Amino acid sequence: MHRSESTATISRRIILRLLPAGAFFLLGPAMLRGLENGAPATADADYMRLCSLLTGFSNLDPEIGARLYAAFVHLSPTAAQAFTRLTPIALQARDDVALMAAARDAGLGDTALALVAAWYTGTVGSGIHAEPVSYAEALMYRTVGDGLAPPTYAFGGPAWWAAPPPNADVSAPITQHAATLPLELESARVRS
Amino acid sequence: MSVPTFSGGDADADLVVVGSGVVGALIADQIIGSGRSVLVLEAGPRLDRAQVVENWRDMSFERRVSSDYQGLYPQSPFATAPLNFPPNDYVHLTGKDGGSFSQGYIRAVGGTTWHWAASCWRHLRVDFRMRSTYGVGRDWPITYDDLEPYYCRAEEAMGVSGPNDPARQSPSNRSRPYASDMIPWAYGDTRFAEVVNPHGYRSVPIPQGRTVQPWNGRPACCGNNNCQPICPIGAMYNAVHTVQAAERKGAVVLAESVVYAIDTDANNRVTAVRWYDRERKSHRATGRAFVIACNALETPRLLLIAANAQNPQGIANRSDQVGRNLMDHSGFHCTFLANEPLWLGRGPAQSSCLVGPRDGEFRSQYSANKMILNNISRVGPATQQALKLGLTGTKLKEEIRRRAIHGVDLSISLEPLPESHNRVTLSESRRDGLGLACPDVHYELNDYVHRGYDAAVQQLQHIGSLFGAIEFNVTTALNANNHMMGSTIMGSDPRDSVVDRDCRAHDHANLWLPGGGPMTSASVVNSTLTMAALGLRTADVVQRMLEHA
Amino acid sequence: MIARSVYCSVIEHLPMAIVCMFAGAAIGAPAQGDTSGDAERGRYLAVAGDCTGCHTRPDGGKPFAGGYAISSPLGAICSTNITPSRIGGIGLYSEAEFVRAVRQGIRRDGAHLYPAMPYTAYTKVSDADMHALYAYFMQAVTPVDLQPPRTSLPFPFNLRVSMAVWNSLFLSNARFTPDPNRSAQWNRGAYLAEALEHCGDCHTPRNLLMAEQTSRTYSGSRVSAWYAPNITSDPVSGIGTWTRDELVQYLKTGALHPKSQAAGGMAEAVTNSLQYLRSEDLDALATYLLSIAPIRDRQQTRTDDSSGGPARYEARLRGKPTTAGSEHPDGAALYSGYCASCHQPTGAGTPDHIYPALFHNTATGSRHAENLIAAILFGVDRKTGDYRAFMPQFGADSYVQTLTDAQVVSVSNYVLQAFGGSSVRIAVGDVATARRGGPTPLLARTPLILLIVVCIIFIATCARFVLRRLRRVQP
Repeated sequence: MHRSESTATISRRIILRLLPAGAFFLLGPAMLRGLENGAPATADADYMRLCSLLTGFSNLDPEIGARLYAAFVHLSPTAAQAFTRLTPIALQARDDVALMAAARDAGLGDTALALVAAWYTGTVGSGIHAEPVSYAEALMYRTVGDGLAPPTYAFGGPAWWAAPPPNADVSAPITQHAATLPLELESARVRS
Repeated sequence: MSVPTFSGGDADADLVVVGSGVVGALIADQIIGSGRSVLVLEAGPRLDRAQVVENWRDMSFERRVSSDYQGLYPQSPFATAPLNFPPNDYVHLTGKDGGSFSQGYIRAVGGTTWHWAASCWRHLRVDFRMRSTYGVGRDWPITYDDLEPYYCRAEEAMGVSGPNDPARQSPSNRSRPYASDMIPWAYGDTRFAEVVNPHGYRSVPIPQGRTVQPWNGRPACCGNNNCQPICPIGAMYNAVHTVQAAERKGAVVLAESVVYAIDTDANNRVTAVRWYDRERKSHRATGRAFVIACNALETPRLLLIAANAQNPQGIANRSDQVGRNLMDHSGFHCTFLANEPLWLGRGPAQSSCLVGPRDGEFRSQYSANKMILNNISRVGPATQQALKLGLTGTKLKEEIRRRAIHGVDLSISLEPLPESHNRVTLSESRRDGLGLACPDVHYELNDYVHRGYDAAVQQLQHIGSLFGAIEFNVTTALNANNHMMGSTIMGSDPRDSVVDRDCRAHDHANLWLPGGGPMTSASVVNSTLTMAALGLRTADVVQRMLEHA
Repeated sequence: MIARSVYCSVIEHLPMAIVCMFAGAAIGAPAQGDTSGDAERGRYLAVAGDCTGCHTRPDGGKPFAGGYAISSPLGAICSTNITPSRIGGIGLYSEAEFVRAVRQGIRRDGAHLYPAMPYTAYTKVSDADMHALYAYFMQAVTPVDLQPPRTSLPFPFNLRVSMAVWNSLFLSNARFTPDPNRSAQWNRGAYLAEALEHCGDCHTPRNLLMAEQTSRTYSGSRVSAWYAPNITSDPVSGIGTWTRDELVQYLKTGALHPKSQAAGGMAEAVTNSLQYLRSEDLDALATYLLSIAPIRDRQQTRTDDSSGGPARYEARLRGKPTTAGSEHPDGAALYSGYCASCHQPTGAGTPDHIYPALFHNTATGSRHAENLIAAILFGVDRKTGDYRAFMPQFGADSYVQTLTDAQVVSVSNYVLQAFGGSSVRIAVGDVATARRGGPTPLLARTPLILLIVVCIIFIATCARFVLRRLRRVQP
């Protein structure tokens, strides 16, 4: 059977909006060691703090962080400078909410969200230029890791799923997001 | 042990099978087991399981969440299959519902059972009698009882697990129990059934081509939740297993061997097929019996391409029905967030299905439906939705979790009727890597299906209300389900059908076309088990024919 | 009768053989009115001796009907039908004949059995237990009228008379004697291990003539494609660091996670025998095994389960075209594509241990990589109670994918290095050897030794001939 869903969140458009056109491209020297000469890159501690704050996870893999950064830089000429501007904001913010507020003020809200999306989905960008970076370690799977494994991996032995799932530990969905995601209810109609 | 003979690149075998999917493989395995020589010609390549699994993991998030189940499979440049990301336009779709016929199938050794959900359904007794019972569609020239023993054999050949409680069977007319009892339900299946069953929707366990105990050396399913696009551990029935079994017995399977021509003699018996190898050299395979089992799109395509002087309309096509009556279960989806956690995604992809709407008097007016409770992890869509809300940190984590564990996706199948204007033909302009005509498909559904859609939507709204659904959404564009049927339709009258009750071509005494093509009615359930049963029925007939030859 | 006993023990064992035979016959007379009790005791003893392990075909063979082709380094040895059938089975065996077969490896018709039948262990079984076993096989086992295929080893091993010489060298025709300085529990364990479970048959290395090396008992040995590890009490090379409870758990369930999971012949031993032992017998067996004199492998400095750890390759591999399926696959890519679904990307296995961790696991940390290779090629299949431990095989006709030698090498070396923390590396030859069922022993390979063996057989045959003629001369 075949199924289709809407496309991914982070479009090329958002990445291109990271900085106004014509901005001078500067690769932050501390941001990514080893990127220039092609050696395996490790991510800078400040950048990783930015990532941790935004994602809500503290034990992030620096190698993935570096690969995500490199993918952003590869996809957008303005990415490096955007991250250079965003990182100090993270150092000053006490939590992700404050960080996002400050980022939006600086016109870097979309940059921050793009970074969050990359960590959670494991992919930077969309369409044919999308750069997948991680799969099993994509953070989205960690949110339900007590009850689900990422597809292609077993959670337990045969029939493990017959056991009761873990406690929800989150509230049920409510319609608070109705304004952003409108209800789509198709009424019955006969097609000609 | 009898083996095909080769000389100068040409081959001869008692049975020549074109196509190594579930139908071709089962027939090859039976005939080689009966001591005859068997040659299988497969257009596509041999696959490496790990490579395909890794291709999936290496895909972008967007493609995976959009269900690109085709893109991870390597293709031979001479045996193209449809691709969607981006589209390769191998199959050109026209007609107002052409968009709903965008099929995914695999041309490789083992065929499309590399990626399916392994749902192994039987047709109902009444499904064989749609015209007589409901005044729509056609009657099959065979009955459920004719096919029932073959359903049992197909289930046993594929290692199917199914419910042995008759109250949970659909249908319950069985001469033998399932060899393995049903795949256990996860919490989500159980809870969903608890809620909807009192209202007559009848959620039942889906019989599946997998087991939760090792089966003849096949590993037990451990719920990798990846059935489509591929089972990483080979626990799910995959025709490549049957191909291996046939090869072990002495069948010869040639991959990357694309059949393009069919030779016939003065009595219109098939004498040989001709194929291109990967170097584009042509070879000839002679035989006593021929089976073409390339799926209900590629089989008619081949029959039309192979038109010869004696059969100018195409092989087996004196009726002009080859390629016509094309059907697939038109599908759509209903998604919502339930008011309680269901934790879908634990276990195999599809374990329970609402079959209440599968049958009833209404079928004289509009299409039946079935509603599969997709047990596919909702984490991907949940993440897309949560990210759209601009969330970060803890709020984001919680929202993804909330949407993943409360999210529901129902996959609804509708029943098309066989209509002769729905057909596959040969493109006049597009050519594949070998210069053979690509397929064109014209597809237009009549009101029977659209009224069935409307009825299903009402049922879905009711079901949504039972769960206090929010963000309730029903897709309006119909999608394909990869269950191609009807294009070499079975019938007793050679003027309006392509094959007889044994799936033998009316026009050619030694050519059989089993699989989805002969299926005279679609029902609403996945077609594979019926195809396999038809294949085994054909195998019995072919075996008898070879014994008397 | 007498000629046969001369036949079976060339010179000095003759009087002993006769005495034992008669002694056995006297004690072994069935007690009146207790036949069912004997048969039930015999049933348990047959389980403890794991008769079914060889005498029942694993693929649905009838119990004890034989026909199981056991691969030995000298060729396939087909197990016999030991049901009480008179056609094909042992239905015509008297108790004395039964005892002679089990203890001395001599069939009713006088031919020798190959020591694939572990009569060198069973010879230690007590008279009372032999009697119970006889009662069980004769009364409680369903007769199956099937003649299994005959074993035919290549020359000169098809000359069963060669076993006469071998037995004279290596068969000590003595019953188990308890050690008065040890507890009853220890002695029970010793009896179980030495007489019935015949642990040494696999775990003790063998000499050139393929007899157990008595100076190196339990110090580990190849068994066809597998390796039965050192189970002496050495804290580095053996199981000296295991507690008794841990060993009991392993014997009963076949697993002690993450250290060890029974596979190959040990899986069969657990499935057929050890899981059914009474808990006091398991305690006794464990007590005994943990007392085995330590034997250290001098090249070993740490236990087999103390190195290695989780690995991470995802960050390096993901999002790039995979090399799995290519001519030169990356070991990590193969691991990811074929193994990680169950054993997880980190190698940690699943939390319920059904798919075990690959680090701190003796299969990947050992100097002997045979078990890793064999697990990949042949899989693991072990049933305890209702639970079936199962790893699919990646050999011919795999349901997952048939791997080439090169692929097995690549993925094994990755696993050894990344998870096992081991410096062991395997090569294509190791895989080919494993597929063949293990290395060919010197005995079968070297023409010179063959020649010696043939000479010994020749001498033995002459001696028998001469002795028989001498006997005929006497009144």
